[in-house]
Amino acid sequence: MKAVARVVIGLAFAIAAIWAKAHAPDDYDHRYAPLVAYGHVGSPVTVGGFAVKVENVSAARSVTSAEGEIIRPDGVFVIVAASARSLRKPLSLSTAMLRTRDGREFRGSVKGVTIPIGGTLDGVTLGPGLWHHGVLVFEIPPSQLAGSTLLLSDRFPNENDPPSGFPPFGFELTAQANISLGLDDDRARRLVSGASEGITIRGERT
Amino acid sequence: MNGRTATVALIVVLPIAVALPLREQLGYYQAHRARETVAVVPPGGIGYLNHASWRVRDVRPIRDGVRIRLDETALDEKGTTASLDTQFLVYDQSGRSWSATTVSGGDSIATGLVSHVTLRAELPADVAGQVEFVVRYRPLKPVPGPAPALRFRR
Repeated sequence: MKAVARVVIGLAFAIAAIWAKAHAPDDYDHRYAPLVAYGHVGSPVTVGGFAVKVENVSAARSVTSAEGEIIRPDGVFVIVAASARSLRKPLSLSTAMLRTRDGREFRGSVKGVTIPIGGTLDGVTLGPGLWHHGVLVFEIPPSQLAGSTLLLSDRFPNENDPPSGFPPFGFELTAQANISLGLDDDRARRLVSGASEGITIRGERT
Repeated sequence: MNGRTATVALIVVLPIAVALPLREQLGYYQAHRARETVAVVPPGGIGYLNHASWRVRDVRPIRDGVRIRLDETALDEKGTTASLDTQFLVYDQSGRSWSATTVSGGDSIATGLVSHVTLRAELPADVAGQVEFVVRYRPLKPVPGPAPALRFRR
């Protein structure tokens, strides 16, 4: 009887060890993945040292620079109107990306236009207790819009590929807001078909 | 090996196997943690930081924050570019901070010459009357040891 108990206990330990091994993060990206808070349009998301609320998503077929030049995208401009604030100390939303359903990531930009500091929400310095309202602009192929999510972080991405030097290489253990834009196939189609003309963005042609 | 020996071995080995990697990680964290040495300057007093002397003339609430008027004097040649490596902030009593940006003035152009600098920080109105001005040494290339900072009492 005692021998049977020992075998059972031994088996239990072996199963526990196999389970732990199977569920433990086993690569660098997995172990040091960003600390993500999920949200959706209309609800504030608080993560790490900042809070953000996406208020509205629209599309544009062109933007007009401060000099009056009309700039047209290869795809469509997605304009995300949002408010953000820091919780304890000054910071900027240094990284703003749209991640598509198939995992592609589009950095916030307006074709050929350098957005000056303060021109969009990702360029302003946020302070505690003060909500800053602004827009984030992305250029994206219309077919990629459905199912896309907005990613925001206060850390700059590492531009080296493959990464070099010392860690951190990218977004290891950094706070990241992942906000669903609520665009299913039908909504995305309607957003693109209803895209407006001539949204003005402060910037300078490079 | 009997059961008791195995149990004792487990009790000894397991804590060591867990504690050693944790100790190593804690050491890495301690070595890379940002440290700061803050010198408190009394109202109207002068603080010395990064080859320059700094004196706050006043911190006054304005419509959307505070305005800070500051005297900066270069103590040597390096002090004529002192603000390149410094960060200007205001802190409230709970430890929240806001960045202060230069509105007018800049580094003194010669050793011993006083430069009048005006800064502005945007912050909530309810803390405008209590915030204290802080100058932090924040070089682009980090230097070993704790970074110095000046905190000016109001």
